Amino acid sequence: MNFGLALQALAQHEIEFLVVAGVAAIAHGASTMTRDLGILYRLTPENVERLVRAFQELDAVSYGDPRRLPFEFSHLNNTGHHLAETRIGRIDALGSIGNDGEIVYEDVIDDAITLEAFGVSFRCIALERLIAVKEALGRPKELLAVMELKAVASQSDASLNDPGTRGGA
Amino acid sequence: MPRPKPKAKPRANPKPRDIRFGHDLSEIQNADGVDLALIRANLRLSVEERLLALEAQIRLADALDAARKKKP
Repeated sequence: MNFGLALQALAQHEIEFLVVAGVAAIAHGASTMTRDLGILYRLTPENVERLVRAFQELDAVSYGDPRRLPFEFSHLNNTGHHLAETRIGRIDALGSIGNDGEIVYEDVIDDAITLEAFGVSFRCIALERLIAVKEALGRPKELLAVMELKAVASQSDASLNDPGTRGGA
Repeated sequence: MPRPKPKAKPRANPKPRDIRFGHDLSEIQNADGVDLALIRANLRLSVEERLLALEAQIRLADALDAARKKKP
């Protein structure tokens, strides 16, 4: 997985998205393991078109699909989870998050934080919001992550939420 | 005659200590057993360094997986 190239491709195509899931947890300081970049993208026709173009450029196909079909507008223009296998690694493009897909981009973008890495500025779900989403999911895997994320919150007052520190860069 | 040492005042909220195997684990873990030392180390890194460390972990996992598959 090349997170730098993935973030750069999403930024180049001006996709409105924020980083969620495991990579968001790691960006906040957790030490969990994940193999994919989870993004929650805005569900507007223009933005979905941009995501389709980015996926075409990255040779994205549906993960685990032996037909290796590329993504089209109709595949991405919904609140589903779209697991894409690309030439630079896996990108999980999520139209929504939460137990019943009740949380969309607009619900979490206002308190998202802005991060910089690999020459790209991108948004990431807020730590408190990530904890709340994972708590609501309630699966053992998520609750384990919640324990670590709460510990991160207790340690990171001077980190991501303070743009003056290294963690914010 | 030496002055008696003043009695140490008890701290208002003493941090609970978790002594096991001769170590005070409360210094490195919280009550849930989360490794605070590791989190503090992560927080000293930039976001880019954290993601590069994750990429290295993935490469290691892939290499171990490939080696395991090669075994007869």
